[in-house]
Amino acid sequence: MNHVWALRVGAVLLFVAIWEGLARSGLVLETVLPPATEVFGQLPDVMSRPSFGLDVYASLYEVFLGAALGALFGLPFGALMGSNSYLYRLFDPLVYYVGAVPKIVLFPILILFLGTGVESKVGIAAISAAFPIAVYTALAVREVNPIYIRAARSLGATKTQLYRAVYTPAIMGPVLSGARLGLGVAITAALLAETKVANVGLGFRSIEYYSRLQIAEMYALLILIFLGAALINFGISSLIRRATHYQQQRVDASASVT
Amino acid sequence: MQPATGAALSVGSTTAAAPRPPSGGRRRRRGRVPPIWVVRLAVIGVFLALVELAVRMEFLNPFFVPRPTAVLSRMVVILIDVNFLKMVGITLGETLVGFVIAAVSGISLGFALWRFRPLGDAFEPLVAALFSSPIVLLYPIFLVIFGRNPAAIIALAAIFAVLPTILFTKQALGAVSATLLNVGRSINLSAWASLRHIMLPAAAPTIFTGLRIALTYVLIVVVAMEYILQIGGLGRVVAESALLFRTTELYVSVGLIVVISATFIWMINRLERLAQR
Repeated sequence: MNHVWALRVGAVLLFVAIWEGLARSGLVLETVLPPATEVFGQLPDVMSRPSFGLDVYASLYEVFLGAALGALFGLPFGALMGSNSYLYRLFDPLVYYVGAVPKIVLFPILILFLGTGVESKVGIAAISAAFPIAVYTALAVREVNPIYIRAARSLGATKTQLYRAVYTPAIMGPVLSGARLGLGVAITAALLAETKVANVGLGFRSIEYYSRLQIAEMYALLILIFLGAALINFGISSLIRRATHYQQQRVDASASVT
Repeated sequence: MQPATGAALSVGSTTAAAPRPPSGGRRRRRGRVPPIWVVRLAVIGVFLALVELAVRMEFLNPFFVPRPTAVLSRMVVILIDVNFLKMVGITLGETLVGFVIAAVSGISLGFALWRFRPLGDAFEPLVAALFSSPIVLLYPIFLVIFGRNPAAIIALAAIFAVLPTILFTKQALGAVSATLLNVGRSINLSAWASLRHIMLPAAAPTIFTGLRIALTYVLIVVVAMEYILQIGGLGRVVAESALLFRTTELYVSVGLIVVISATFIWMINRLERLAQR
């Protein structure tokens, strides 16, 4: 375990050292690769600008509202698809192929409907998030172990009880994984759309720094965006682990038997 | 950690006969049901007909939503237009170059992570983490390095697609059964022969799955970036028609992107199934 971390830290240090060396050597232009120290030095500066708070707020608003709207459509649609094998066979290829289209090309259509403000980014984030959420929900519902359902039925469970006590806990894990994925693509979609047409948001600011040739600021902001995305991802992951602890216990128990 | 995005995409149309709840569906066997693709087309057809009706009755503003019939007929015309086919060619060319870079470097790196255990332990989680991070948002860096040209798009797509290739290659090699390798050892196969005759055939199906996912991602990133940067092929067509406020043209180009990428991905899936035979 120790040398694993040694390798990781070593690799990061080596990366930063090469970056710094390359930038200082004069082999590459300052406007292409500013020295690492300069980029890290820009971090507090970028964060303390008055626009930064508003950018963060706008981007978070787009991402989370978008992902929530995507779930609002993706969850019921996925559940419907998964609950009936004919519907599943009918819609699976459609969802699969349309899901693999770069959704960002729908952005100009959304601009027509919703304008160039945050609403169109919420829309693109929602469309992007709906697909993984629907796919994961459908799969989760499909793969509920029929033994659980038969067992609950033979114990006299009502329909409501069946949904609440069997289906919900059984699909919780995969559905939350779908939600995590949905949130991830919502981040990419919203911020990417911001770099195209927007006047506020982290994506907009990064391309703004680029076009003003404030390259060190641009690198610093991109580092912040990545850290933020990683933080959200990590937060959701640990939330999932907490919400589905019973499934992990089950896995542990079955692992200890074999 | 499973590459989650990959799992989502690899779901595919593998409609295996899963255990179904006892109720419902029994009727279906007896009655004559039209083939599923007919029903699928009918669903799309009904949807488009409803939109057509809504536009004609002006529930939907024709300025925002053109008539589906107008869009479809225009799509057919454009689909055989030489200039448009050139655009398709540019996009597919960029996709191919990006894919080859991602495939070659991804398989080599995946092999290295498998071959040198400490490297794999240290960096596989890092690759997986990068895979779920918004790599595409780094495109301004690629603009700075390569300039606003197709090289930036290809590099970005390749870097994104190399990640699933690495993960799948390492997993594939790691999952080769020890029994097979022991058999190889007992008949004194050289390391090279064992790689050539045992490792590669055993790992190939999983590696192909990784390559299919990589190719899908390259296409997605290429088209998306063409749209964002307004250079290159298909994506640029969308960006330009949006700029000119020609609603019908916009829907036509978006529709064509859906059709072309769906066809492309369908062909990749067929290819993968052929290769795995």
